[in-house]
Amino acid sequence: MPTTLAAPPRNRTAVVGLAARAAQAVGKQNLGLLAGLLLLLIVIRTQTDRIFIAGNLLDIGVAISILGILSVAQMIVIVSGGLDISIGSTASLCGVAVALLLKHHAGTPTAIVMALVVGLAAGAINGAVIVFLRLNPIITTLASFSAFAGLSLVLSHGLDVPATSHFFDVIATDNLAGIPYPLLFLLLFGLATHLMLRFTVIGRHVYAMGSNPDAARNTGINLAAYKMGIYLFAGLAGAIGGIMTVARDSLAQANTAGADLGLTAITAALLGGAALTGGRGAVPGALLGVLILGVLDNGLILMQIEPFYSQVAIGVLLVVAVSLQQSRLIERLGRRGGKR
Amino acid sequence: MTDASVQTPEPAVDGDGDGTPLMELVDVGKHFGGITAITGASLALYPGKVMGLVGNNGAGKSTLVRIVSGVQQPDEGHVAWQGHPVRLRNPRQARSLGIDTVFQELALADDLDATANIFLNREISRGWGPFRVTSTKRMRREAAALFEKFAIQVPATGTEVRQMSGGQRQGVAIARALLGGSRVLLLDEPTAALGVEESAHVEDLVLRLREHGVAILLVSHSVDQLLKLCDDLCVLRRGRMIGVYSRRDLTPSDVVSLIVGADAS
Repeated sequence: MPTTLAAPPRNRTAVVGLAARAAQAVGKQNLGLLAGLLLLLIVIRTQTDRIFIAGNLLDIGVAISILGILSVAQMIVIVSGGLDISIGSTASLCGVAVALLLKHHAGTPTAIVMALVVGLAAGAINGAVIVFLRLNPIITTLASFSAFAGLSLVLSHGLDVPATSHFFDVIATDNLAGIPYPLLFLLLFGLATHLMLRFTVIGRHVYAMGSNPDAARNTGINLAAYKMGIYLFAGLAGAIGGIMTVARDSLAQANTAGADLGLTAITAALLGGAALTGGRGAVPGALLGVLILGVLDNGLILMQIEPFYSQVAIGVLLVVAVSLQQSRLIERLGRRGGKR
Repeated sequence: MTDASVQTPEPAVDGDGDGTPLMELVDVGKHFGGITAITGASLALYPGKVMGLVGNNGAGKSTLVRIVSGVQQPDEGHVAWQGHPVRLRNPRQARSLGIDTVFQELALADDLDATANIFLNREISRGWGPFRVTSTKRMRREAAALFEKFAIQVPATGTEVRQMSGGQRQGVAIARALLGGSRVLLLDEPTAALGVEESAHVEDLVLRLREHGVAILLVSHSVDQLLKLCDDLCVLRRGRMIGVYSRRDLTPSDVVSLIVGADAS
């Protein structure tokens, strides 16, 4: 117990204590991610001095906002021991729904509410199949991934659906106290989810069911209700993502962009420390994962490297990050350092 | 249940085990098709007494364990709780009476810490419905108090159960049952997967539970352990109960002969 031994120089303890407290606040499992992010920023900074310009940082924030919301929702699904491959297709479907409604002169509030209902319905379908037909979540959402994408193509006849709305223009271009609306939505969504996971009974049960479903069932936790709730939540997040995409682009595209986005959301969640075995993952990690992807994309653009390379880099990054997490290297270092 | 507090059984006033048993099996039997899994089993569990359950594989031990824990229902004889016949329809009902089975692997969520595990689905919380916020501090305090009472050496918070030793995990699983106010604990091979030192910790814990008046049914393959911990031994052989013997009358070789039926006469 070094702190109770002979008094070391005072200011040094304070600094060490502060660093320890900061590390604890970040979470030791996130230190590796933070280090990775820092490294990435430094490398990009050596190539271009535009990365740290305030405008560019906000651009990154806006660019990751939709992915971030999907990724946070995906992380919860993964923590609970499931997976929602269909979340990107749900976003596409809801985007097409909101755009079609606007095109047919529905009011913006009606269009948004209807799109959210479509998202919830998509989540309810996933949840019902998993709970009542007892199908594996990967199979279920792989099926709905295809079905929802197909449905959005059917509804839009495979064409882009233009959508204009004053409200959408505002949230796409305006900001509140300097924070662009999409980034604000991500921060609020992330904060609410974080509080729920960290401090409520529901959050604790979600970790428990992912960690050991038999133990959770044994204590009387209603796993079916939780699974249903979780896929409804993912559906809702998909809808929010879809609506925000339409707001950004002023049109809905029923192409593979949504599907790609959904898969990238899984990548970000895994990068952020969510474990497919369930029980592990948190909002800060998921957001850091998304941020790393966003900075990578942004950096490659700033350095004028073909953006296709970013996909290669993401693949490499995922393998490196997950193998590091599995070796628990960082955790072990943290434990040795933090032994008291 | 939104609120739970440490409620553990008090030491038995009547240490001798006379009077009404907490739980009693009377002439219990169970058949599967034409096969008799167990028949004619009678045993009584008293507060502050450890009953050992021994027998070879196929002797009917697991069936008896499942009957006590409420997983299966006997089709002969009956089960009594504090002198009154009861029907244990499922483990949850058994647990609500105060009969809890400690499954080592079924019991714990590896990614949660000890406090979160023992309070799982009976969290102390404030607020309403989905917004019930966990009172981490109160739970930690009560968990620490419980661990101290039974000298269970585990960190209450900050360490995932995954990182704990087998003996510590067993301690957490037992603490979880105690927190629910269980008065009869069924321990099924509690040291099967443990090393010597870890086993000793769990054995000490069993003795402390006994001191605190918990009635224990202990299933074990280790004759030494049974003779060290048990007051009485219930011996099963090929689906029949051979008898309940007092530890004082037994030597290790007696127990082995009873199990295998070497001196059956």
